[in-house]
Amino acid sequence: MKPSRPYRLLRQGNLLFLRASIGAHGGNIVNLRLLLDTGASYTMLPVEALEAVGCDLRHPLREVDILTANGTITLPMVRVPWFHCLGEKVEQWPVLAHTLPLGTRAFANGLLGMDFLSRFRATIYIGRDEIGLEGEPEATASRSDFVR
Amino acid sequence: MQRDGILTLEEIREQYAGEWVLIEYVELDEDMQIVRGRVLAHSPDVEQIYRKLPSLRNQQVAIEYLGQVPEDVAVIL
Repeated sequence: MKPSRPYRLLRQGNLLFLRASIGAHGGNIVNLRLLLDTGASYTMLPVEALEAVGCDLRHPLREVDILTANGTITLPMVRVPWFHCLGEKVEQWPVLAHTLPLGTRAFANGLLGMDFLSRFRATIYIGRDEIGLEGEPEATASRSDFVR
Repeated sequence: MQRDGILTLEEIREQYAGEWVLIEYVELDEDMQIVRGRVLAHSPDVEQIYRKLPSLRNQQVAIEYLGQVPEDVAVIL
């Protein structure tokens, strides 16, 4: 499978950012600023944005224990109607719901984690501040929750 | 500035440097970066921006930070 064209990342210091959109069919679309985080198992998005696209946080898919530098927290996992990032649009994508508690010192809305990066076999070009995706392995590309 | 309040991202950046902005966008580029849109809200505190989200009605918006990561902040997530 050919790699996708490289997508531009925004570098600030040692951090890399990119943008992603979530949406509801026929409803709101919210485009967010995410921190590219290869140390995160899952993509994490703010509670308020998830609610704006119709996610029901009172009835999550499941709750997930997250190990952080300060200990363990338990977060709800919900499916967004669709998630679009780096040219890939996935329906019913599961994400963790959590608003980074940074207030006026915030600089990102959430994290793009290894769930997405692994699924689409991402290559990060640190020196060029770019990222490319090889795409899904053929065995998983036909899954019903995947659309281009 | 156009009469309908639509600004380019550069114009928005000049007006609201260092702040979070909620933009009803009319155009994104191939990297999903905002090209043009209308500012609905702005604040140094992103939580003020989040409070505007429940009032959206079938709109397409972007939340953008127009500042830098603070130099005295390190990130280990």
